Amino acid sequence: MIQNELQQIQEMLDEQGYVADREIVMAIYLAMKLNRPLLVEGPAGVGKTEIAKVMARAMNTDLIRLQCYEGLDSTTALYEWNYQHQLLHIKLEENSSKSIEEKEAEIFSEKFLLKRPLLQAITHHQPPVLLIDELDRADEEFESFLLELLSDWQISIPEIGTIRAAHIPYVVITSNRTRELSDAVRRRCLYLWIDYPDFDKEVAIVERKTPGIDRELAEQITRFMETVRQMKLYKTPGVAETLDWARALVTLHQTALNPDIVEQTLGVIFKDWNDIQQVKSNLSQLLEQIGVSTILTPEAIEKIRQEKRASSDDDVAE
Amino acid sequence: MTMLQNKPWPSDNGQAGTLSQHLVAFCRLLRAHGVQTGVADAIETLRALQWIDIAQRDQFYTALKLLLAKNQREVELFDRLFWEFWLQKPSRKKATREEETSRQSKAPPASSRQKQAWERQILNWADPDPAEDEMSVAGYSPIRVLTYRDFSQFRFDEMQEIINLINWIARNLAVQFGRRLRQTHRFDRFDFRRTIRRNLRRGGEIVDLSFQTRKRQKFRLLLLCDVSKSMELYSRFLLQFIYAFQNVYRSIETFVFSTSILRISEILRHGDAQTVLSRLAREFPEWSGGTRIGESLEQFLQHYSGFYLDSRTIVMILSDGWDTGEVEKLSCAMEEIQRRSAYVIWLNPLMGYEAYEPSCRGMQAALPYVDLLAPVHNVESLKSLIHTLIQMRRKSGVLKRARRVTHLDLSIRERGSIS
Repeated sequence: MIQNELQQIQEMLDEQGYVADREIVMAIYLAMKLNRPLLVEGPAGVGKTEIAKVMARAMNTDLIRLQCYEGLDSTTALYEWNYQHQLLHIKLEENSSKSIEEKEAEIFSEKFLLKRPLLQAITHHQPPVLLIDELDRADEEFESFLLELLSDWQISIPEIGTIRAAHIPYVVITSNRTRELSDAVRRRCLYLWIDYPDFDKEVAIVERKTPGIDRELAEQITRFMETVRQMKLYKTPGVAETLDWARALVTLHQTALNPDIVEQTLGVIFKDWNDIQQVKSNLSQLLEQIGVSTILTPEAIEKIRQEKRASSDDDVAE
Repeated sequence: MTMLQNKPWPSDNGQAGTLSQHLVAFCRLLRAHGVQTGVADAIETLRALQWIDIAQRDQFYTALKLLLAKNQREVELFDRLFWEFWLQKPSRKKATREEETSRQSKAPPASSRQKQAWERQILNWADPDPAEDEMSVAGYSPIRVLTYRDFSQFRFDEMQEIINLINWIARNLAVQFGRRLRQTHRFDRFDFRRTIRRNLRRGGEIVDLSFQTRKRQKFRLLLLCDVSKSMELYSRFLLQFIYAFQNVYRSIETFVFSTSILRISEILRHGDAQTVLSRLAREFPEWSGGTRIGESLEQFLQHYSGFYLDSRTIVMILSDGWDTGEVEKLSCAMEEIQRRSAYVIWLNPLMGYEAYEPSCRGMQAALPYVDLLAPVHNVESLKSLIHTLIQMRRKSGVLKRARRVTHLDLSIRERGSIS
């Protein structure tokens, strides 16, 4: 029976085009069963945010997303009164015969309440997936505020009273580890560390997400990415970059890697000038490593010669 | 792709006892290795087990991992310990239990007493064994006499003062500077006064709304500490300094370097001063080795800067600037550190020496990329550092980068603190 449920989750994820290993499946399964938030960490571009999106689609429920940033506070995360609307209402009601109490009750009714993601999530008509994205970017005060919400599932609004969660949402928290999250948050969550996928998984992802790609090209791309991730780069490319690149190559009607096309499309993979330079200077070596023939055109040879000369000049200058 | 391999457990691996007992024992083992699992985690894990098929090894393994390991380091530890524990012979389990109890007996004091405890630790350090101190004096001769005098200045009662001073520096550097409110277009807090005033010209019809928000300027502290041979004379003071810093402010990261670099924030957070010292000595064999500041900083930039360096970070480097490595690397690294941080403070213990000029190669290379250069070798120098920081704050509200590096050494000499 348990096997079945796990299988089901796996199938739902498959249907959504998400290649998940058993750890991810188990994480989603347990998070649902135990009703605990799922904290997902890992390098950039390995599909952390995607988990929540896929979960929502697979369970046929809504995704409510709270993007964290520095300075995020309760008015942007929780609720806010619609001041303009309230003031207009007061103006309109100026000459009515209603008592002040009545007017006040009207002004502070749900009609004038702007629901922000967290309030939306707990008042939703069915349990939604609540994605708290990049929690590490928010400050510590927000983190402790969130902690309170995650344990009590209620929000108190002074003018209205306490709003209890109708359904407890499925919570997915992601973090890029720009700052260590507090132990309190960690303790409350199931912890899932997603690393760069292994070769087979990444090939599978590429094939799934890039319709019409050659198996051979997909493997070449993946092998190239694997090799590049071993290098000391400022920003190591993730799976997102692999997919971008694969799509770019398919759009350019390529069926196999060759030095020219790789050099021309490096900007898709690397987002830092120094990284591009570093990869460029090692390109032929890299391609040889992954078994791409690097037969050079005369122009390319001339270019490499020039570069060599320039770099040796630099050495002399040093 | 098959989701689960149907690998059952060996039917009898020679272990008696219930599953929950084993689980608790496993939690203890994790705790003994520094994974923070509490009773609640064990209970929650037991609760989770009813939802999985524990006969399936893979399910059991992933479920436990999700529930018990709470960060990347713990995930790695878990991977190692899990197989060790669940596939081991019974005799080894007893050993881990012993290990755990022995650890418990020297466990750090409860959190309420922790603060006092570390203060006590520092005070203990401040009461040096003179013979030992003399023995540790070595190396660079002109400074030796001075250093010795510096250390003799650390009287017992002065230590409390040092702690207080460090406390002040840490808080005031890191905690937000501005509390003033500024106008904003975001719906933060409603600014009644400004709203009324702005709408007076319309005869009190309220159309435009004003909002205000708190001016935020929050900094993180990053401490990079040179523990090479040339700094050995100061190591006692340095450790006090690092330790005190780490304990007064939470969001501070500490690294030590000599020929390579090591992050020690975690080590400093756990355990008392003595344990920390012995752990450091064990885990950082380069302690009191040569100095390659450039390479170390480069290493820092490569491996850690993504997490620990941003425009809200104040970088404090504690070093004498004696570098035996490549100077180009140092200036390159310093340039990047300055570019990617809010402020760079270089604290140099040698500057207490009257004849000292920041002329050594390393210091020269780093100097263009330092915002504040200050001596740190005794109480007076700390006070003077605070004085400067207060003045800078008064001037601009926040620590702002000046175009030229600020030298603090002159004020010290004029005060005649080195007698």
